[in-house]
Amino acid sequence: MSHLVRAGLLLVVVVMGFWYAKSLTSVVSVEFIGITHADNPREWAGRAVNNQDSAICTECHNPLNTSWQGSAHVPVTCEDCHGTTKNHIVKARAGQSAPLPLVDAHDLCLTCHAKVPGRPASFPQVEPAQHIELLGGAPASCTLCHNPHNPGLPPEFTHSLEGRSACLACHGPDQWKPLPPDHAKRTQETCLTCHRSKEGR
Amino acid sequence: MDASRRRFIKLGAHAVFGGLFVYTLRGLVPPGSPSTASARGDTAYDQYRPTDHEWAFIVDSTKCIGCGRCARACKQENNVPMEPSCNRTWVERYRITREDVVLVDSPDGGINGFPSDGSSGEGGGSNSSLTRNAPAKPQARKREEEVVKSFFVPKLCNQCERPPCVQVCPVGATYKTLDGVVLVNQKRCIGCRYCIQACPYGARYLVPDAEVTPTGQKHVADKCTWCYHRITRGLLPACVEACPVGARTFGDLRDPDSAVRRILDEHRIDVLKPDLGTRPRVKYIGLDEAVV
Repeated sequence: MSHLVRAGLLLVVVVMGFWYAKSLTSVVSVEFIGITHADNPREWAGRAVNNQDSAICTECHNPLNTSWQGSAHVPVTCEDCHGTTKNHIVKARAGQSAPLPLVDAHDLCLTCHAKVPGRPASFPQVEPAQHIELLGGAPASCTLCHNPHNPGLPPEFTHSLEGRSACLACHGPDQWKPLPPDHAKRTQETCLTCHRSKEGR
Repeated sequence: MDASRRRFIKLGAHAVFGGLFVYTLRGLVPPGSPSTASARGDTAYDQYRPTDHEWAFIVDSTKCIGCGRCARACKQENNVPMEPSCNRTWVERYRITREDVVLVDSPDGGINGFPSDGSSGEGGGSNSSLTRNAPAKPQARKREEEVVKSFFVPKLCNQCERPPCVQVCPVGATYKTLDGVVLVNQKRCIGCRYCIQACPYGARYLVPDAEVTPTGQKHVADKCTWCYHRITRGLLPACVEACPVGARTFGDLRDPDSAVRRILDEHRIDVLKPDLGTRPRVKYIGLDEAVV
């Protein structure tokens, strides 16, 4: 009987030996990283960072950044609009001229703010043709009226609209509280396009 | 005879158990231990312990405005070829008509935004029309115009817990790291495209023949790494950084105070194609039945 026990033990030892040898030479599991890929995550982790944090821009562009940081556009990073700034930073630090032109700023604004099917209704957006028409058909550039670094919103009016439908009766050019001079071409119907009451529209 | 056999077995047993002991000790040393790593001189990764992290990515599709800044930032950050077929992340637009026709478009992966006229983007990309009930007819133009519901869905590699791409790779080139990110060892990849076929989310692409990866490989599979080079340095993935409306959140589930932990606790969460059992690590808020 004891020779069977010995043979059994030998078998166990041999199997364990095989198991150990296998674990040394092959991937632990097909799904998991084994010794065969030991250096690959390091290679991926070692790739260069291209996109720069907006904070780095404050080093030189401080006043601009201060207004941007208090604005509704603060979640928009510098590179969202200006593109990759890596070369710009390297050149500027070396004292070379490093322009960072914005290509087609008009389309750039509309990438986010054009009225497009699918965009959440709460997000500020304009129908480009209609928007220009409202303003008398003139400005082709958004930045003529809107500061891209601090877009803000036109002031809310503080009174109720109840019983007050004729805005220009009080806010006409020669009236009690006239509208600002740059509002010359606007009409009664367009006020509520930009201005909201505190209680909503 | 008897004595020598006993000696042989004793010696064998010692060798095996001794070997096992050494192997166990070896397992106690973490893979990226400073003693072996510092010689190679990459300090950021030396500090990084993959086993200490469990990364998660949450997409709030109700916030997405379809501006495509994420897809553009990704291409810049990761040197992704500008071709429309090569996207590590992209934005799809779903438009559902009164007749239940589902229109999906993603012109150039959304890197230039979406057309405002409501038509499907003309400029290439993956435009398709799906129908849930009736097949779309050529004269469906009128019906298409009556869109009742539309929204954007940003997509990227789901870094599945059970990744089909890893299962099918014939050379074992793609694998899961200990922090949950699925990576491609492009030195091993033979460019057979099995993984591209196997991925149910279309998250993989083949590096075009004209292009070379930053590590010098040609004709290999590539995919989103959740910006592995950024997250291991403590930065956010480029798309998360670029999103102007906070539709993308990234963080570590091991950190009880992380934003991802809080969102998972507070919101109703969905994943893409849960029936496939891939267990995606990208979670969505505000998905729709129509989204595939």
